[in-house]
Amino acid sequence: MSRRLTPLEAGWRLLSGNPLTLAGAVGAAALCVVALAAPWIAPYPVGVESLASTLGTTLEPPSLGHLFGTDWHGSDVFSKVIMGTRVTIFIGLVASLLSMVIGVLVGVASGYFGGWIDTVLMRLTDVVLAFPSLLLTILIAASLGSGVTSIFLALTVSGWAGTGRMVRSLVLTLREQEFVLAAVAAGAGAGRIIFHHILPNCLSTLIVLFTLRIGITILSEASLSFLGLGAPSSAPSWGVMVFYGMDHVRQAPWVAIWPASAIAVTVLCFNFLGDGLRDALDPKMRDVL
Amino acid sequence: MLIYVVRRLLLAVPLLLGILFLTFFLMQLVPGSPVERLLGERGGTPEERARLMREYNFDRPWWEQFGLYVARLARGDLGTSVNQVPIAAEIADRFPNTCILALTSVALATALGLLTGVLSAVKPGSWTDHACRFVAVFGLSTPVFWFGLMLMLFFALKLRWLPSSSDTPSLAVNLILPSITLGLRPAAFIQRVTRSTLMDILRTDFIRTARAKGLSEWTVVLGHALRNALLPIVTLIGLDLGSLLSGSLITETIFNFRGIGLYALKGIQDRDPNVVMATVLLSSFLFLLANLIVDVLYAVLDPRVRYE
Repeated sequence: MSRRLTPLEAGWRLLSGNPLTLAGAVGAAALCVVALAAPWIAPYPVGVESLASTLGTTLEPPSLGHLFGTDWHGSDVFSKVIMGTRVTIFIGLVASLLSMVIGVLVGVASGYFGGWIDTVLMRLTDVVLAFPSLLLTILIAASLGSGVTSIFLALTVSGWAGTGRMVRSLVLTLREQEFVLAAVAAGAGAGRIIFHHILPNCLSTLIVLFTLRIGITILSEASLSFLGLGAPSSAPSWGVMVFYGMDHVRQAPWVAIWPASAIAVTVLCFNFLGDGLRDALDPKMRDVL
Repeated sequence: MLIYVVRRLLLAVPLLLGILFLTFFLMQLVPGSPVERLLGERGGTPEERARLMREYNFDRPWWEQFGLYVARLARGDLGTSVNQVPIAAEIADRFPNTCILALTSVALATALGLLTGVLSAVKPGSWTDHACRFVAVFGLSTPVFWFGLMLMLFFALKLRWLPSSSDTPSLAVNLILPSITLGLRPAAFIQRVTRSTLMDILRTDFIRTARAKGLSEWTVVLGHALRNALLPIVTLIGLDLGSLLSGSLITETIFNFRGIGLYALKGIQDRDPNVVMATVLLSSFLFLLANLIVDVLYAVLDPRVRYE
């Protein structure tokens, strides 16, 4: 093959050969669409609980009128799950992006500049990596009090270290390559070398890490919420819905089961996609990740 | 080898101190006066306040508090919780439970993971392979609390075969659902690693030789190939055990299992500094220890690995 594939062709080649990756990609795309269009998809408005509960339709089992049943307030669980997609996907994407950015900054600084910067940053990474991850997330969320900011902070602070370590090792090998040497010889500064020569070569690994991180982040957020440390809100995340659903799990299991299943399906989609991307973009990483 | 182990143990000390410092720092971020927080709404008597001041040195600057904590820790004293129960006693009481749970889960995971991994690797691309791989991806993607919840709903609430809460007198009965819940994820990891390692080894020359000798396929796979694939699998099992020994917050919460994880969570919820510090220290120490043991096992299992 002499011609370079356009991104579209390359993408199709990747997806058509692997049904699981295709399923993951379609699922992830569908979830993003649902997240964006949530208010138009949800059949019932969410957040008018007081009205519904006076009508006596609380904890109603799934039916045609309420596909996933109703919850303790009489809200339609299906509508809440649809609206929860927005919250959950948003937290998953943003918190993953934040921890990736910090991980890349730490990894590049550590690997490129070396010396005392490397020593300090890597000891810090060691501490975070040796800290049981869920325990650290919970500790941060609990110390900072409930709220969206503390959840983002908790997920970010406990999530960057793995990426940092990975990027550092990538940068260490890239730094010694001829094309970087050539750039140095041509008089390029550190910023130019990092942004034009080193980071573009890390990109495929970063994409894979990011996709896999989304699944991990959504699971961590769900675990936090399950333990009662999620952000309370009129449009709660799936994890928060499971947490409140647990109160009535004996009489009305559907209130907890549907959002919990939504979490499982979402993580499954991102994992399928991430696995496929890893095999396609970076076969060397099979053993590492 | 002994020098290597000693050096690794010495290196773990600054790491654990770093973890303790991070924990201590996070506990400082909790808003409000610590004494008020610990005594709760009732405020407490002057004696109680004085006792807390003595116990935690709240009247000193925070770095001195940390130093005093570490000094006390160095003497082997973990302190007491807010309601005056010695932490060492509480951990001694709960740790065996967590140990048994971790061991059963890992045993289950190893059995399931090895079985499905081997089945996958001997016939890659077959229906068995696809089924086993699907189970593995399912295991990796399923939130632990969802799986635990489903098991509880089905076996405890619908069929009524097992208790939904792990506080029955029989430890064996208490263990069933939590250990299945906890074992699913490690099983999936073991399946993946077994499959990929075994597939690589089944392509090597010595396997062809073994087959050419006329050995039965099962002798080739189990006796020759699997034995050589064990190294990464043992690594994984060791690391899983290390992380499970520190207690599973989620699983222990779902089944109300009296272990270290539930204790850590209670400490965090009560914002009880001594309990949080002690449980974090224990968890991280076990994790580092498991890493070290795995590295040593490497050298034992594979004579080519040497540590200087």
